[in-house]
Amino acid sequence: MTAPPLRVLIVDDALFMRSMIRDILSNTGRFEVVGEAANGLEAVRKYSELKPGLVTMDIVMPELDGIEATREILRQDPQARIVMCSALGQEALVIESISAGARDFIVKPFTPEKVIRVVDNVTSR
Amino acid sequence: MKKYLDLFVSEAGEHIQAAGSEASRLSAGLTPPDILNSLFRHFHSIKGMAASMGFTPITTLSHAVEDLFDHLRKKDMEVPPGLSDLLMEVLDTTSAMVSQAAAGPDASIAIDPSPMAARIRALIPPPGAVAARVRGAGPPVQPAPGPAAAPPPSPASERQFRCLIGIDPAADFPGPRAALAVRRLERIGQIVGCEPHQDALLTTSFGGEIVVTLSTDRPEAAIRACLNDLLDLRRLEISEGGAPGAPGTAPPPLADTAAQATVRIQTSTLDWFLDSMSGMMARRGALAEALRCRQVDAATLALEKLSESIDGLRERVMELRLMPFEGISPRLTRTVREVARRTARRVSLQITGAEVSLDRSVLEEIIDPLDHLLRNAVDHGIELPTERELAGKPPAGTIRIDVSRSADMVQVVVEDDGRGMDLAAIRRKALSGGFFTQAELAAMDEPQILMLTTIPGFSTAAKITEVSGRGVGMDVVRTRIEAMRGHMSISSTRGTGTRISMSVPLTVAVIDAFLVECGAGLFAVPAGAVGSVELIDPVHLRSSLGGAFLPARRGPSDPDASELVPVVDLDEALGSAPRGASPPGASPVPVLAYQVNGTRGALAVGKIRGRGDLVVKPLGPPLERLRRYSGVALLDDGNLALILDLANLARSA
Repeated sequence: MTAPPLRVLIVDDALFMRSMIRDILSNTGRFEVVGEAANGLEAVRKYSELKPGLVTMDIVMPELDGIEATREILRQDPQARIVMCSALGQEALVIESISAGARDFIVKPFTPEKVIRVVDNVTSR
Repeated sequence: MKKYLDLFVSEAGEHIQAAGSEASRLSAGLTPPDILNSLFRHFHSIKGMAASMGFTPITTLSHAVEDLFDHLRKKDMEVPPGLSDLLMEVLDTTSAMVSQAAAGPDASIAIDPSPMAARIRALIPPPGAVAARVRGAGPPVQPAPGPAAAPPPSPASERQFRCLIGIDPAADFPGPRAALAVRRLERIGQIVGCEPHQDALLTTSFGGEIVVTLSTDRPEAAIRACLNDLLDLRRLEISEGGAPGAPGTAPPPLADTAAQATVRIQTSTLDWFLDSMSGMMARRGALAEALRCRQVDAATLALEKLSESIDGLRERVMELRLMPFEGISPRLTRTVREVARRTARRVSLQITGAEVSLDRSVLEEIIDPLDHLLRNAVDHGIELPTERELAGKPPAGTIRIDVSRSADMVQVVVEDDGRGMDLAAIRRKALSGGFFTQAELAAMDEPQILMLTTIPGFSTAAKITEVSGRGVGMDVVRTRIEAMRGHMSISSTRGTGTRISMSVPLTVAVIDAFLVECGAGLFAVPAGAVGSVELIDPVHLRSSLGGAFLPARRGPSDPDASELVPVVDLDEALGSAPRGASPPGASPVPVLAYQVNGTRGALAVGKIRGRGDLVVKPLGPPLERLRRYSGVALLDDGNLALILDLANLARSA
């Protein structure tokens, strides 16, 4: 018996990053990417629309940054599982995200193994 | 991988292009913060993508630029001269590297960007020069007991555990990983101690081990379960009865919610924008159609409707730019606390009207002048506690900031109960410094004397600050306020305190103004200050000052309704040829009666051309030193009109 794939929303302003994460997750067969958002506002809107089981959230984005979007999503759904996608040098932003309620983080550049490890860790809790 | 490469090349190209057009705007002197933010984001994105593709040279260069803009946008440093040109070079190089990378999966990047990256890094101030700015400071996840406060007593069922958590120091971000561990523990109990401090998690000295003292009613196994699947966990030791959190070891605040350069917009507003935009496009279509058919009436109608849409859109955008004053309150409080501690004063800052909203650019502009006034108020206004007690005052001084809004202006008053300014000392200084003669000083009233402290060079020239209780940089404050088309005035009572009142426009981009003509040309008069427009018989206007008076319009409850205000001829005020004697029966002259900073005046002009919203541009150096004008307006026909600064016009007249 296999569990239904976990529905994922990918948030990143770079199409490049979105498609990379989408491929990594989809290739496992255990995740279904149900939506993508290119900024924080879109992320908040898509989250309430799609109610995904997991969100990967870029931090630096136009319109609304990932930390604000994380706060807003958690305000709407305190159970939301959000994983931050950060880049080198953003430790402070990651700590801020964690205090905002993000469950974990991935550091770019990332390998598929790292992404899966973090995502599995978050979704198994 | 080919698919990613294509995506990388096209997206990196877009970022390079966008960054290029923004970089060219850097050369214009003052750089708006949104450009710095945007440039930061472009290089950040390029860096992230290049790192994922393994294009190290591109990563190296864009990382350096990203760091530079991170400092610039946080105002750790000024925009260095020549940055725009340097950025163009960087973008060319980046573009060349991207092209080389695009040649195929086996292609390598032949360019070595390290010298260029080094040039960029050389612009960044060394870490010691920048005050430690850790973004992770703000409201704590758990209220942190202050140094004096003991940790809250634990209920009987709670026990304390000492948890030693070791993170793999080679992990990506050991610090944030440790913060994640602390955060998880917070969900099952209360953190009473944390060693090292959570803010040390960001420093390179963080060795990967953190000891958290947790008070919880859950068993040890629950703590273990909460942490043992933490990624990069190398060590976990839990023992009961850990020492109660020593004072000062409580977790410091974590996240800063203020200081975010983002605007939260309701989706309904965005939808409204979209609707409004499609409405405008339809109206534009109608206008084009009417023009094509040469139907003047239809074109006029379509134009009217289009203008309506534009006005509506403008109003909503202006609204979105508004931000409550309280956004800057924490910073002002911090300034007062800092200066008070340094100068051994006791001061409390009270802010009223913090809910009043201002345009964010006005708010940004007003921070520095306010900061300056507060420093002065603490340092030179408020006396030492012992001095105050001798004077029969409470040992702690009070500084009040009161923010209020009237029409399209916001008034910000900074008032202290300190020693006040010394009029006699200012007069002496004005005389000895050769600024004014005895006779000129004798003709000045008290507010005018106080305003002398805002003359450039006046206050810095001597130790006037100590005697006057004010002064350093007052000229800068005034210049900044007036550059925003604002005004300031000072009142002070020796021994009782000083009150500095500033009024600034609610928004900077557009003003409602009368467009007037006179012999000297075309001028704009801000309508916010104008109370009434009247026509008076020219025989009452003579070239001598005060040739005519208008009855001041006051409220019906005002007993002093008989006050008269002098009429000043605009040409005369501007120093051009005074109006000649008018023949009897000449047509009446339009006069604008105004009030600024509590001073009433009336301006006779040649002709009023109309009233409307004008787009305002600052004059910029060196013209901004012309105090009679507060800016320049772009007119529909492409002409320019100088905007009169009524307060300074009256002063110089």
